[in-house]
Amino acid sequence: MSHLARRAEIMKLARLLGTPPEQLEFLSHVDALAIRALREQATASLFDGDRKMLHNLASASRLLPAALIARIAEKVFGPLLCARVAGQMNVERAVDITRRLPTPFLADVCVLLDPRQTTELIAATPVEEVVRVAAELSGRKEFIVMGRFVNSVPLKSIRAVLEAEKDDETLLRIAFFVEDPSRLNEIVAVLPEQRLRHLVAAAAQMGDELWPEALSLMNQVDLGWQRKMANIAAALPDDAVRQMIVSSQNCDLWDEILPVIGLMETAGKRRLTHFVETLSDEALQGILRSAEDNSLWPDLLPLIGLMEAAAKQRVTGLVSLLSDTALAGIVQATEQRGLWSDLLPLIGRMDPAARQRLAGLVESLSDTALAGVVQAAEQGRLWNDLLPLIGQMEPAARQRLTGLVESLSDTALAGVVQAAEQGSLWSDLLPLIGRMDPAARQRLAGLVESLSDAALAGVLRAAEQGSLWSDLLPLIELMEPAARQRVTGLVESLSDAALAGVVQAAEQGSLWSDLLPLIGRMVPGARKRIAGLVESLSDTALAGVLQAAERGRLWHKLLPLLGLMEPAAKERLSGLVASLSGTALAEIVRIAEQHALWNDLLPLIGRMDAAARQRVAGLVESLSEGGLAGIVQAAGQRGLWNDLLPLIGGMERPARQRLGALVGSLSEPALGAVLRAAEDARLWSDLLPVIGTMDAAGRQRMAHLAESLSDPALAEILRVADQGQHWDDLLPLIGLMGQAARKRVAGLVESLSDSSLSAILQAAARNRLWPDLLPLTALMNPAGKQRLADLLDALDDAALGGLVESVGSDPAWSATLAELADSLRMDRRNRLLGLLQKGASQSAA
Amino acid sequence: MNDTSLRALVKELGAEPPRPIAALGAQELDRLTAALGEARRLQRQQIEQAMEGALHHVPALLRGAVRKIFYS
Repeated sequence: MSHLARRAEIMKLARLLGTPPEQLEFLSHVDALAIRALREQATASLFDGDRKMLHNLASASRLLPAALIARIAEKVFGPLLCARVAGQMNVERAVDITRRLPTPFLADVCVLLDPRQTTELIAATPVEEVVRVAAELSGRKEFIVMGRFVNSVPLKSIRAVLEAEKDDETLLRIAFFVEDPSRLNEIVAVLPEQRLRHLVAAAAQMGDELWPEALSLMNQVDLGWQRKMANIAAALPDDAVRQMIVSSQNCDLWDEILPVIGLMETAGKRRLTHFVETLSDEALQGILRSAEDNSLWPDLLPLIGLMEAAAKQRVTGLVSLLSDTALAGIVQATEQRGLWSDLLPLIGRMDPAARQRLAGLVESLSDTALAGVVQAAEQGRLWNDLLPLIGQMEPAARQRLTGLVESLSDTALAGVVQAAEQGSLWSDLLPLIGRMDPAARQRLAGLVESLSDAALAGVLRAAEQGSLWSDLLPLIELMEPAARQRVTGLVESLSDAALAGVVQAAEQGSLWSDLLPLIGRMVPGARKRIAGLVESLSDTALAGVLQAAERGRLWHKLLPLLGLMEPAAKERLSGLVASLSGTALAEIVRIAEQHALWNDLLPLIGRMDAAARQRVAGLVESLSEGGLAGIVQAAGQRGLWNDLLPLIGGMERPARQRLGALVGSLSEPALGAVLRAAEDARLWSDLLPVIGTMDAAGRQRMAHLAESLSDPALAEILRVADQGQHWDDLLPLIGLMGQAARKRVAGLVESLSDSSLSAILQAAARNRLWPDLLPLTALMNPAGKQRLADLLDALDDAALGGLVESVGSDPAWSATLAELADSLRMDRRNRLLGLLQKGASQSAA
Repeated sequence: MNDTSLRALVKELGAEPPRPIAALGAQELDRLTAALGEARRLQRQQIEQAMEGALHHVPALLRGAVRKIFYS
């Protein structure tokens, strides 16, 4: 019970004991019901002691006529004895005596009556008698006594008293002491509405004097009357309403008035709110304390909800200072009464620390309750208040709320996005989006993509500042191409540190499948910056990138990135690519061909170990002519011969032949680059087979270029040709060189070992390359010629026949051959010369 | 301790007081007991005065008998 009820009980007890109420002030914290029970015990104790004597007195009175008894009562017994005896008398006789007594005396008796013993007597007292005594008691301000009899007096007598008693103050003061609140409903019901209105107005105007009594009445009648009286109060003039608030504050009656306000119509509440707003912080704190102590949050929260922004902010600050228990009470009341639309704006205004405490409380609510929160945010457009709260919740709670947000309509989701944009709340919304199922995320993407560039930049800023790329990246890839491109442009403009955050998020969240397409859309400059970041990842992380590209068929996005990396990173990546399955490698080759990405892929291939390169070579071999041309073109344009030549070197002859034809068709400057690459990277073993497959024109251009090679370079070519059995590829090239270059080559050949010279002869014999070799031989010194002749001697007849046949009738070569023949053994020389003569006569014929 | 004070109140009241009252401090209980005792004393005094006043109107010879009837 309220403290007004306590006050009334203390006053009644004080009256019973004949002591000033102040003496019993120590009971002000005791429950009113306990004080009342104590009063009933004290009444019994005081009034039941002399019952026997009083009963005897009452019995004796039966012997005398009523008129005489009345006279004795007034003149002899006095009011106390009469009051005690009255309860022991026959009711009819008592009434008979009563009507013979003067009203002032009856009033004296009433004050001393034992209410328990006289209920029937009071009920039987005629109406006019009751009215007279009531007027007398009212004049003496015996409100406690009158309140005590209200329960016993019949309603018709009460109605008569109300009609006779015009003073509203008296009525309120009596009502304050009425024992049974249910009786008050009947009394209020018999009051004309105008009277009721007047009653409330009078109480408000009298302020501290009478407002407590009015509030007491309002809180004791049933709900219907409470509501009616509350709205009467709310409709009073401004001065009266202000006075109500001031008196409630002065008399500390917030626990009484808050439930009354809670019953007012919204318009009325708003009027009162206006005056509550003018209270000091200290007073507002008192209201909060009262709401906490008396569980009146359901009444107070709607009031706060109606406050102006500044006042709401002040209240928010005060609510933030409340204990955890109090905040828990607020959340509980909010949930039970569905007051989220009032509480959320407060939460939205709280500082992060206070909001964190609220978040901890809200997240412990059931799913149904959380659904109520979401519904309130939707209906009241309070996402700007709810999102920061969600943002501070634990992951599990955030996940539950995500499920609820997912199920919102498109219109509602648009409201969420709008709130996030207007309130810069992306840092709260993104983690939610990141947890959504694909369908909901798709819907969000559709909404986010319609934002302006400035708004999208805000989203990115939030992702950057809150490290929320893992939530944002999947969203970007669900957008329409145009929006995706806009976002890409914004990502490009991020700082290096921010981009590092993006890469880190992709790595940690395995989001390469989302990031690679974004990188793929970037301008080269930005992509280069990303490449710099990606290349600093660990091997394991890089392997993750490759896996994502493989799974997501994103090689066309990844290869351009890899192409921009530094050599060391390419080295590492080549090892990782080399370890991919055959299917993956085939896919990479296919993509490189389809998207013309050889310039990105070749550097990787060039860095692979021989075995891996061999696998790639096998895949490249099967490309179409156009595909191979693309490779050659890329190598030419980007100077990637040192990567391509080893690849070609590992191919089967038919493929090498096809590539040789393509390389041979290059311009002389382009071929010069090939030659330089081979020289610089010592790739002669790869180039020579290519040259060997070139057509005459290509080889001629290559021979022309080779003429300008230095002696050490030429010596290296000869060494490689010797080691790799590439004489059949080299001899035709030498054959096409100019005299001076050939002379230099001859000088180098002279210095070769016998076995090397023998290999040259074998190659010449095998492939009938004598027209290329003999001019070289002619330029050798005698010692060299002699060694060659000695080796020639070892050739079989078929080989020699081939030699003679190749030389044909060319007199110049015949002379050279004859010169060689001079060095042969006699029998073999004769045979060779015979063959030559035969050939010459056949030519002559 | 309020045990003694509580016992005194119980005696004066003729019953165990409600628990919130019994939980009061000794000083408060004593004050309640004293107030109740004083009320009782005053009331008895007033009743006795009223009775004596009434008996005054009874002839002196009958007063003893009437008093005996009332207080029997």
